[in-house]
Amino acid sequence: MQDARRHQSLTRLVQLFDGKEWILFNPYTGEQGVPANLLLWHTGGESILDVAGGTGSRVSFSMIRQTVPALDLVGAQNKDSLFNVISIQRLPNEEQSMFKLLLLLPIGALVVVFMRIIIGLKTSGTFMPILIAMAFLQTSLVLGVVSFVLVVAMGLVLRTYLSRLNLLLISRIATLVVLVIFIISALSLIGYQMGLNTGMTITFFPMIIIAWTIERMSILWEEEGPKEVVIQGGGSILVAVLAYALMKVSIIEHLTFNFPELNLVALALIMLMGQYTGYKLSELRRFRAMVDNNAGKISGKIQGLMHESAICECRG
Amino acid sequence: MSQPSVNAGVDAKKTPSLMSPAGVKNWWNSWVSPWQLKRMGILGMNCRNHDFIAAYNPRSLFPLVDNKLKTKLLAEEYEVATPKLFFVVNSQHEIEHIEDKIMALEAFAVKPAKGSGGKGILVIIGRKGEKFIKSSGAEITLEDIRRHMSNALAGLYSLGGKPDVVIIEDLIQFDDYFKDYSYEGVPDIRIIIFKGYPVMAMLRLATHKSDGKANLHQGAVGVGLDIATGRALNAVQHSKPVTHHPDTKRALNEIQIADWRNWLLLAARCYEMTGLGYIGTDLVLDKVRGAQLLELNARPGLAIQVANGRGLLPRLRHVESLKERMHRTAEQRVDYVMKTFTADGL
Repeated sequence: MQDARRHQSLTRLVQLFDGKEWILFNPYTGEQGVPANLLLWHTGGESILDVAGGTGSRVSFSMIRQTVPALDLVGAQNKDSLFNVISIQRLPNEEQSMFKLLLLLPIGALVVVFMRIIIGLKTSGTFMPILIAMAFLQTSLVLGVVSFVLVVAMGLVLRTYLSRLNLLLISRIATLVVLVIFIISALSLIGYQMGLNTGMTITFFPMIIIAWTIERMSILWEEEGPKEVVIQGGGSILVAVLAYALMKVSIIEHLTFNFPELNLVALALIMLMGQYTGYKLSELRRFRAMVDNNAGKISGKIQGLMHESAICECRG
Repeated sequence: MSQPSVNAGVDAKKTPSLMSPAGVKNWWNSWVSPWQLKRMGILGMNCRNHDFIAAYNPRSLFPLVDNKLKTKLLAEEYEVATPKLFFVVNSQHEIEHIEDKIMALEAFAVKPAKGSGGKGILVIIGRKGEKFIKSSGAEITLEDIRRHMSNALAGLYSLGGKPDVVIIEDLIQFDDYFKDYSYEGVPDIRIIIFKGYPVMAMLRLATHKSDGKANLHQGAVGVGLDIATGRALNAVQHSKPVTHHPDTKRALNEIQIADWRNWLLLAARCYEMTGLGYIGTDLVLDKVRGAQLLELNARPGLAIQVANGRGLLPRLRHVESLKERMHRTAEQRVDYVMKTFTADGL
């Protein structure tokens, strides 16, 4: 047998009994023994197909190679176990793939917690980067980053116009949601026409979250200036890319899906970091100036003291 | 506040590229070891959130400081000096009927109750016929004020865009003492109060760069004040030491806050008022009525350490080590810190 062959017919073999065991012979070549990849379909002399009142009948076989996960085998063996009954693998394929994504979320949360508590990176919106990372999983990374920046940038331009209209907050956000949907549809249609089939997948972006991001960034722009927007936007994309990179590692994907209880490890790490009261990496830079200023003050004081002592010596 | 701090003595423009060995060394030198920060007793963000805000500020009391209206009513109840409240606008339809009330006022400030970081504050310093004059000198109409109020009510300036109320209060008549020290803006004094003890203070002076705002990360000058005397200790702008105000050129080390004990007392009494263990109090000086409480902050920033050139932790741990009820009144606590937290001491 070979993988993915169609219209295969059966091969006849001859079987001999030598008094102790049956031996197979290929009657065409005289080869003895069991050939590799053999599937015994039928023994004996009865016909394979009986046709009554029909003509032109033919029997052919198709083959496909399909691997069955070890888990299925285990499942098949322990059909009645409770764990097996409520396992994710019992769900229809579509729901399983949803669970696959869902069970990756803790990894994203872990990245966000680490980047914010230990590193001290500023992001726009706490968990927005995870949702963006999930969207990157659906698109590809480069395309995802480019289209995300494009959508937010276009949204910011439109938002400056909205701020002139003096809308109430709720309707302004709602307007942004509608505009973001338009932007994303337009981008994916253009992408499709340009032959980028993957362009369609940017519809996976969480639109409501993006609308909020645009709103927050535009307020940030007005209050703190474009620099802060770039810092926070860049931080968000960095965290999203890191989370994406981790979620994309096939071993992590495999472990979180097949052993969901491993997410408890991520949970433990998150809770552990919640207890961390040391300095953030960014603070080691932030307070650098203070150390320098103090060093200057102390050396100034010492100089002053030396000056005084010189005066004393003169008097002496 | 994450200003890249350039090393003293190194010209920022001539910073070698990161590729060269000198560049790597320079970059490496822009970091400081956590042990050194610890030796200096500098309070980090995680430690502040975990050991002080979460431990001493019950969540249920946060609304008292996050909502300026509640703070104000509470301050009036506890007889803590605060700018007089004229009236409150609670809903959009009330905006139609503000004309009579507004026309009776000469100078006033419009503030969203839940605005943070000075957002959405409109200051009217005078009138010119039908027009109102803003602090920047620009003239606006009643209709502009109405629009501003409508935005504030809808939650434009509040945390998370929640619906808000608008308060209209008396304008602070700034004392002339600070006139030469602040440019185009409002100087204020931030005092950190821990369990009722004033632990650190700074004067914030607006500059041209900070656009009249007293926020350090926007370029305002922060002057650390000696808790014992109210004298200037140290001044920084963008985390770098300065000796003179960049715009008015006045020497900053001459600053001496008059009647300093009263300032500390006003701040210390906010502990009894709110019940919050770790708060930042923002005070201003009124020409006629003296020191006034402007607002409270349940998550005061860490920049006050840079302005003072010293860390908060030793003082905070010292206050933690004091026996409960050792000092029963605000007066006793203020007298204690004025003796203990001196410039050369703790």
